[in-house]
Amino acid sequence: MNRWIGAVTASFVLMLATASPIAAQDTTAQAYPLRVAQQPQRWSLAWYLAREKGWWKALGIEPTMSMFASGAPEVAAGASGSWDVGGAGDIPAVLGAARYGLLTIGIADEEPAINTIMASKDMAERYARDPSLIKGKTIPVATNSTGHWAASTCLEKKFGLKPDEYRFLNLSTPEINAVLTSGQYDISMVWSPNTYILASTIGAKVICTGKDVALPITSNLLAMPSFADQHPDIVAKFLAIYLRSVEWERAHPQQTIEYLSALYKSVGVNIPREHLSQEMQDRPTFTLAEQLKMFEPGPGGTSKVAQWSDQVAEFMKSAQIIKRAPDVKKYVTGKYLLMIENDPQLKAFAENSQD
Amino acid sequence: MRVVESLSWRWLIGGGSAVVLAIAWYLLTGPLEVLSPVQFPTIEDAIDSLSQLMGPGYAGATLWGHILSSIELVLLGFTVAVATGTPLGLLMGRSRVAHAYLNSIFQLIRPIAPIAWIPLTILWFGLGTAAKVFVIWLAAFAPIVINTITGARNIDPVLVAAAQVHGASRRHILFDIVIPAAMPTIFTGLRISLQACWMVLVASELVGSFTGLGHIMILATRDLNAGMIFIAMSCVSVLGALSSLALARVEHWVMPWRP
Repeated sequence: MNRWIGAVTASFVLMLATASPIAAQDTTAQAYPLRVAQQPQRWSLAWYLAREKGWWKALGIEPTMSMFASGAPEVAAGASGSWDVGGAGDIPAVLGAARYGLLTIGIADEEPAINTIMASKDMAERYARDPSLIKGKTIPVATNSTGHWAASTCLEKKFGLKPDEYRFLNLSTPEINAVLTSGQYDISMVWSPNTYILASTIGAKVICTGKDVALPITSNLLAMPSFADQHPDIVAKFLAIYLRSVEWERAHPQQTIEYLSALYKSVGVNIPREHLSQEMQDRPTFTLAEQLKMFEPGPGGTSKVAQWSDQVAEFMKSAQIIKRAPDVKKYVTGKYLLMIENDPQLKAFAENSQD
Repeated sequence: MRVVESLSWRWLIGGGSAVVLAIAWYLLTGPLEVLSPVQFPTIEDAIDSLSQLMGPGYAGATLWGHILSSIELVLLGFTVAVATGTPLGLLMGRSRVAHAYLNSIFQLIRPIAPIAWIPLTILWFGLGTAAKVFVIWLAAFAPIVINTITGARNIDPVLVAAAQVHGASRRHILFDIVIPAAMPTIFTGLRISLQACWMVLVASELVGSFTGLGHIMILATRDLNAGMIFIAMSCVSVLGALSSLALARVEHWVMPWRP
C-alpha cells in the first residue's frame, strides 16, 4: 500500500516539475508560455501582428492571450496572478501599482483624443453652446478608467462644472452603448472605438476630448512585479515584439489598417471602415528611441512618464480611488527598454520594420 | 436552570469560534503573510474601510445611506414577491385547472438565474429602481410560489369537506381553513425568499446603481479595495440575519399557536 502511495506521489511530483515554467525554460527547444492580458483596443494590434508575422515564435515565446473588456477587471485579474504581461490605460495601471506594485514598462499608445464626452445628435450642439444645461444630469462613465478622468476634467475645465453639479453613473462600455442608443441618456463618457460606432449608429457627437483639456492619457505596457523579477529577459522580449510592431505599422500604414480591421472583427467590434485611419491617427504609438526619451529622467530627476503617472495618481486620490499615491520610482521603469537598447540582437529585432 | 446553562454554553462556544476566527484572520493576513492584502483585507484595512464609510463615505454615500438604499430595494422586491407569489401559489395549489395552465410556464422560467435577466431588464425598465426590484423579485418569487402550492395542496380534505357540509362559502374556506393551514409552509417559503433577496442584491445593483451595499462591492472590486468589499459583505450578512429574525417575529405573531 505504502509503495503504491509512494509511486503515485512520485509521478505527481514529476508531473508538476515538468509542467512548471522553469522546466519549460530549461528546454531550449520549447517556446516560453507567456500569459498576455489585452483589450479590444488599437494597441492589441501589436500582438495580433506578432502572431500573424511569427514574431512571438522568433523570440521563443508561446503567448496565451486573455481579452478583458476594460482595465479594471484586467487589473483585478492580475491581483490573482492570472497574467504575466499586458496593456491597460494609465488609470488601471496606477491602480495596479498602488495595490500590488504592477510595473509600467512602456507606453502602448497616447490617447487623449479618443477619451471623450459624447452627446446625442439633438443635444450635442446645445450642450456645447450652453454647458449649464448639463447641470443636474446623470452621466454614464466606466469608473476608474482613463475615460472617467477625461470626463471629470472636461466637465470641470471645459464646461466649468463642479463635481456636485452632475452625477456619474458607473456602467460598463457595452452598457453605455446600450443606454445611449436606446435614448435613456443623452450625454456620456465614451472612448474609441465606441465613439465611431455611436457616431454612425445614432449620430452622437463628441463635445469634449482629453486632448481639449491637455490630459496626458496613455495606455501602458505592464508587467507583474514577481514575473519581471524572475524573467526580465522574457519581459524585454515581450517589449521588443511590441516595438517591432510599431516600426512595422509605420512602414506599412495601409496594411496596418487591414490588420486593425481584422483584429476588431475577430473580437466582435464592428467599426465603420472610414474610421479606422482616424483611430490610427488619434492613437499614436512610439518606437524604442521615442520610448527611451519618455522614460529618461529629466532635469528634475523624473521622467515624462513618471510625471504623467503622478498626475494620474493625483486624480485617483481626488476621486477617492486610492488613499496614497504609489512611489513612481518603484513602478515606472525604463529598465526593460534599456535591456533592449543594450542588446544588439534584440535592438535590431525591435527596430526592424520589415516582415 | 438547565436552559440558562445551555444558553451560556452556546454563547461561550459561539464567542470562542469568533475569537479563533479573528486570530486566524490576523495571523493569515499579518505575520504569516499567507494572504496578500489585495486578496483579503487585514484587520487594519477593514477598520480603515469601515471608518471611511462611517465618516466621509465611499461610492457616493456613507454606510447608512448605502444600507438604507439596500434595505429599501430588498423590502420592495420581497413585498412585490409576497404580493404576487402567495395568491398565485394559492390559486395553483387549490385549482387543478390553474395548475395545469400555469405550472409548465412557471417551470420553464424558474431555472433561469436572475442575473441572466439583467440585459432584458435594462431594455424593459431602464436603469431605475424598477429594474433592480424586478431582479430581486425574480429571485424571491419562486420559493414563495412553490411553498404556497405545497401548503395549499397538503390540507386535510376532511377539514374542507366538514366546512362545506356546514355551508361554508369558498371565501370562508380560503380564509378560515386553507390559508391558516398552509401558513407554516408559506412562511418556510418566505424565509427562503427573504434570504434569496439578500443573495441577489449585488446582481440587482449591477443595473446602474448610485448607492447600496452591492454598489459598494461593485466599485470596490474595480478599486481592488478588499477592505470595502469585506465590510459590504459583512453588512449584507448582518442585515440578512436581522431580517430573518424580524420575519421569525412576524411568523410568531401571525401563528401564535406555533412553538
